[in-house]
Amino acid sequence: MRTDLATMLMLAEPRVDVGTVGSEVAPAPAVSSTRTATRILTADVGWNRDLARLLHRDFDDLHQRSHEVEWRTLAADRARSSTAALLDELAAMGFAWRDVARLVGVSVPAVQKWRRGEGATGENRARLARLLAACDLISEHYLVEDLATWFEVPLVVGVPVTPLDLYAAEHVDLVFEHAIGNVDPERLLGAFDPDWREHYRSEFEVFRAEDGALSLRPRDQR
Amino acid sequence: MSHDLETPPGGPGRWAEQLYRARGAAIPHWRPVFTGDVFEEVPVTTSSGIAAGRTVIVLQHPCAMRTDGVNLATRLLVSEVRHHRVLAPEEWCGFTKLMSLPDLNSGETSRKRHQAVMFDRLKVVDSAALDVGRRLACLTHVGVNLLLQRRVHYDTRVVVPTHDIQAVTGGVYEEADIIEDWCEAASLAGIEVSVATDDCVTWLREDLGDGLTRQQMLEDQQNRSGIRRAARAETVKRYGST
Repeated sequence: MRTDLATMLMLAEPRVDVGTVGSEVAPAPAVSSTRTATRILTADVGWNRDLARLLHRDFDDLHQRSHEVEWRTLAADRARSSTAALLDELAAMGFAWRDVARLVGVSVPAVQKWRRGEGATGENRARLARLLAACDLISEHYLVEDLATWFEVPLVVGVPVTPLDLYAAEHVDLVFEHAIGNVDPERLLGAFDPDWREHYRSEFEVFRAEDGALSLRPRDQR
Repeated sequence: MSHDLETPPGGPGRWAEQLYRARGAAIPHWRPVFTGDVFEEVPVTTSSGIAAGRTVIVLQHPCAMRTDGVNLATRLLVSEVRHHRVLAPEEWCGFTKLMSLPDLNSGETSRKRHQAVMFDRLKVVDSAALDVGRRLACLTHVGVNLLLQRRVHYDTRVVVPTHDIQAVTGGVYEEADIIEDWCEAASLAGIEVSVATDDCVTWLREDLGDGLTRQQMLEDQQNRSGIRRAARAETVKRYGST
């Protein structure tokens, strides 16, 4: 395909047709077969490009919908487990209780009560199940081994927005997009917070002070 | 555009959940005292030299709170907490000598429900006077970062974005959470909190080779979930519970 395209583009190089009449007579504009071919080629490529763009968008939408459907199905399976069992699994993965609380939309004391055996409401249990189902989906499809760490690591170095933040803000679609791995993280940040460059701009840098503790100082002030 | 003093995330209706990790009876007594903890009835010396019980918030930076990692420094810097109306979102960039603590006393229906940290009422108190049974609130990590931002600004007129503060407080906040989890498991096994805290800090400071400790590893967020998993496994091994 690439060779065909190159050949057609070479043929498209402009050539001067001087004609057979005197210079005082302007030749009639001629449409060469080469120019006709390039015009058709441009139209074809343009049409296919539009088609590819539409297909890309359609498959993006379809992929997101399939994520949602699978996520719901997995969550329904997960919801059969007890609250304690769901929490045990999240703990075994290494999630902090404060993050579990945030992702489920409850307080830390609420999670602590569940761990001590107090019942969660049906809605909160369903939210726990959805969180675990999201973990299942990401680890099965995108081979993320250490999920708790993956959730805590920023999308872009130096910008403190993590998949935890996306999930807590109910942008689970962006979490799945990030898990796929072939989406520009800056595009995801833009979808999450269009002003992220300004919000997370920093005039400070972290350094280790002489006492060994992490500290802050203005950038370029060494 | 330069950074300004920040407002808690979400609207005013969500500020309490953004600021407080736990309040009142919901705070486990084994949670280590941390920056941003609010205590009531703490004896302080007033300007007239009389000792009086006041509500205060711990301002001491987490790194300077403990002399040996376990025991609190003898004296701690605190600030008085007094009634103040809730600031509107646009007011958080002003009112620089205070930090609003909306719904601090969530059980109150009177004006005492809403309080504020008064940075111009600094005190130094005996750490022994901070009774965990009279702890009114522990702040979230977001709350601690906002507190530090406002305090730094009050003292220096420099605004440090909370995401920068987060970069240097993340490890110590994580450490407090791990100690709390550890002490909870130990308490269920009948171990005293002070002993369990000591054990946990010793475990965190164990040399893993080349002088590297788990405590140091917590500074890097990529290590935190692994240390959490290891701490939970260790408490199960020691105390037989999760």
